[in-house]
Amino acid sequence: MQELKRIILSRTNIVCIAVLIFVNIFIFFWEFTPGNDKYTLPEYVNRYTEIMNTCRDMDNEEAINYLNNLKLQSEGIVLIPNWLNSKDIERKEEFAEFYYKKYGEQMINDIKNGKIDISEQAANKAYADIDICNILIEKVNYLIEYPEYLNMMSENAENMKTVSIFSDPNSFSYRNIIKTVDDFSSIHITEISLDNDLAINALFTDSISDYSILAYMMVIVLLLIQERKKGLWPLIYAYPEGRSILAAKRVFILLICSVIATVFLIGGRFLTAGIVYDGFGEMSRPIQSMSMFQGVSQPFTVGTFLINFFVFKIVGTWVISLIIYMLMLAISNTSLGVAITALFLGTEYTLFALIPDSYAIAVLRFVNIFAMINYNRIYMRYLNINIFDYPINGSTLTTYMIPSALVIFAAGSIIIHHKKKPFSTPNPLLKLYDKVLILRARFADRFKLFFTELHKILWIQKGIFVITVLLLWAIFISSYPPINRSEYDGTLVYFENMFTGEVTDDTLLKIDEQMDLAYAEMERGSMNGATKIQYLSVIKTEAKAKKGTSLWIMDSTVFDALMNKNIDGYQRKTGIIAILFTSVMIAGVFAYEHQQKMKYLLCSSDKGRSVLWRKKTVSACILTTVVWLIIYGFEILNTIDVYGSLHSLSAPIQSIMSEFPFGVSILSYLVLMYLLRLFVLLTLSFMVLLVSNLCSKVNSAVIASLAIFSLPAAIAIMGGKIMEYFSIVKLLSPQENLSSFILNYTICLILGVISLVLNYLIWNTKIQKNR
Amino acid sequence: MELHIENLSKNYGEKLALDKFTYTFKEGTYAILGPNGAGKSTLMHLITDNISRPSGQILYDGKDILHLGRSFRKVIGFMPQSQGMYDQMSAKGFLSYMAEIKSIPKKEARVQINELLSVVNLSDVGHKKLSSFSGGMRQRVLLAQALLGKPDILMLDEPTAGLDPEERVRIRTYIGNLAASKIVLITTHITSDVESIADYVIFMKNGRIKSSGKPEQILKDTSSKNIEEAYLKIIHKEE
Repeated sequence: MQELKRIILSRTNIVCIAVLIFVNIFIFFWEFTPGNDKYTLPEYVNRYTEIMNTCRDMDNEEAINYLNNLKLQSEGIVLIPNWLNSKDIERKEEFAEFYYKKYGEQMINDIKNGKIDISEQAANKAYADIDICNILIEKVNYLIEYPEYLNMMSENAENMKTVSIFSDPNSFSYRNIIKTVDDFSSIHITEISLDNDLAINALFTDSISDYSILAYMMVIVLLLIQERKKGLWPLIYAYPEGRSILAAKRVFILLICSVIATVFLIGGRFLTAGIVYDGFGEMSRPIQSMSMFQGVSQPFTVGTFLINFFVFKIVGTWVISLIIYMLMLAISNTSLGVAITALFLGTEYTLFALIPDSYAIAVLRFVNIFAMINYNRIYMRYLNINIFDYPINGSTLTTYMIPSALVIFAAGSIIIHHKKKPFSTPNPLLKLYDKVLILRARFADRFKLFFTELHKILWIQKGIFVITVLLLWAIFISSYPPINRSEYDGTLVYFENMFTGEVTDDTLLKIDEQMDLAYAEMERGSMNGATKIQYLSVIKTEAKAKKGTSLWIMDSTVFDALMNKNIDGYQRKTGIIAILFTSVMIAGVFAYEHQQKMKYLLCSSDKGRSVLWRKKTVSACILTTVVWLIIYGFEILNTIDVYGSLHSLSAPIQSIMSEFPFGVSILSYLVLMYLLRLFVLLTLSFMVLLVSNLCSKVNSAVIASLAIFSLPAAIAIMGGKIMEYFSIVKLLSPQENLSSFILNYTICLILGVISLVLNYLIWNTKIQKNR
Repeated sequence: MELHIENLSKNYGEKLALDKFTYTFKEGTYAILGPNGAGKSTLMHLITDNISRPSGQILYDGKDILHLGRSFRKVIGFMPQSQGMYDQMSAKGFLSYMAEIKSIPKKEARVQINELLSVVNLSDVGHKKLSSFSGGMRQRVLLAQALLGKPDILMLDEPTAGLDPEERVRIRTYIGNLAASKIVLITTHITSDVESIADYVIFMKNGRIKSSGKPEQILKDTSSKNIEEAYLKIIHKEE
């Protein structure tokens, strides 16, 4: 079948699926690699399996006790040595009671006598144990509470039936109560059990595969209707199999591509999760054994749930691709079709993501294009919709909608493909689009060369999609920088905020007043008072040291998050996103001219050499700046959202970073830090432009740029430390010290200048041979 | 075999592209000549049903082509002007693809593709990607796809444009030989092609036929030495 061959074997399809698989697997490791340097992912998985297996042999109550003891012991291994080794004798004595009470004399003595291993390795293991215990305690508690949750549901149903407003048997409320109890009655409570569910958890907390599938199917649809762009439409339409038969074949091809997308993208993640997390646990256990499936009302086992999940994904993807295909067919102009499809998808996503359960239009969340691929939100949340006073389960609604949608959109696509003629009178939408094009042309006239260059990057080379994907990442996926925060840090922040400012005698007096209050609280037997004293002592010591200098006492949480060296795992991950998007965005700038065999024609014209080279470079710099603004702008917004506002900006930087050698304010430091990142990204863009100029095809330039700049960074993040020296990702995080700072950025500057000069020389090279 | 067109009109907004065009095509080669915007391409797109038909009739052996649908499209070979292609495909791949679109059985398609590649002198490069082809080579691939399936009606829009003289003569001769049992419609600006292969010439302007007939008759009627001179006389008659 030639049409199938054309799509499946096309380079675009192969490159697209390969890139998406790589991105998905990369994001998987990114999401699940522990965000600290205490333990690695395999160490974590081994320890998790070990503790979980121990718990499986116990009943739930025993398991909870075992986990609580293990957690306490691990906390002791981390905290007691710090307390014992504290040089502040006064503080050490103050906390003695607290530590003896919490961890017991035996443990403290064992640590003192070396009977308990407190080496760095043991402490790191203890950190992992604390995290694992927290997760498993939550899981075991769920297993204890789930049967109670079901019983409570039945009891509530009986109670509610006696309340007058719910007691009418013809009302939605009454029917909903009965249906909910009935739906959950078939679950085999006795079989729910603890097992290794890390892989299943990784599969169902996936945030990217659905969007990858959507992007992939969009590419496939564009490939299918490629005849329009290539001007082949009238020719194909004129032939016997160029109408409904071709459309029917394409409907089938979309099914095959849906299978490919699901198998490679979701299946890839599934397999990776299974390998990394040592299997999926017992497949015959009820899916409700995991708390995230509490809302599933059908008696699925893990195995049947997974089969359903994959079938649902394939069919859902097929329906979505048919909708996109039909929309694109209905609109003759491909660019306009893409814009309208994007608008449609945006509206659907807004309805899907933002309509609350309680709204009357909640049905639009289930009769929705995104419901068809987002299995998690539809099947893992139990919700009955009011349809003419009858409760219909949201997942049932979506399940029944899919076959109907399949028939409607498949038939619609075939009919439109058959009826839509290549040359037709422009509809009002196309006329409006023409006016937009005229306006754009007028604007382009004013800025001519520069605008054309931007147009080439954004439209012809699809840079606008790169920016859109980056924005989607920033809005939906990007997170805030983590910091190491103990449960007591809130008290410290509270006091730091109370005494914010330069240290004066008045500040010390205020601290003493608070100390007196805390002592009084502790004497009344409150542990909270002891905690307050601990932190007030820290603040007092700091205040004494800072008195007479211009340094401030302040809450540094938000700045710790943005500037801390210890979170460079996060910063490097953000760095690689910046590298990835910058590379993809501008890799085609010069390669495009080579690909179109335009270089020597351009260079033979008046402005084709220096001027055009300059405009191209400036365009690339502007787009790099856009990438920088999006990535780091959202980083600051996310950080403010979690840790509070950027306050005390006029304080000297030494207030929070005592070792910094120059006297600047926090604001100046922050500006400098982010400008340096822009500088690094601009240097990267010069190097990418050089690669672009050396490649004869846009695709080759993108692949080469990804291989040279993103791959080493990705390997470095995944643990290949040696690759750090071959990647600029290190420069996108804070530097170890001043000398490494000067050395690294000087090398960066030199590389940038060399790239820029070489690129200029290559662009102005005369023809040596026939390219 | 007869393709009868009756009162065929088409307008694009205010502009009348085809104005009550009436003509009957029988076996033979018809050269359609006219300035840009005369309605030549519109006529071809109406015959291939690429444009919706607001008024008039197109009858193939007495039956409306819209009612015939697929069975009419099976007898068409079409070569539009300024045609794009799937650059990532090889010439053979592209022809195989078009053969499938034209519902030619696989075995037969394979034989025809090899034969046609030889006719258009591209046998040696049939496996090469279209992206590496020159304008003339692409033109020959397009001609080959039009000839696939041995269609009864061939519509060729500027088939020899961009070919070198040697290739032009070869292709023109081949088309000339085909015409005995087919209806061949050619639009061209190369008047030497018309003189050598056209059985009939149709001059069009503003969507209407200005003159039509056998080449020798046209030359006689307009007292012209060649078709080029006749063209200028007919087209500029009213000006």
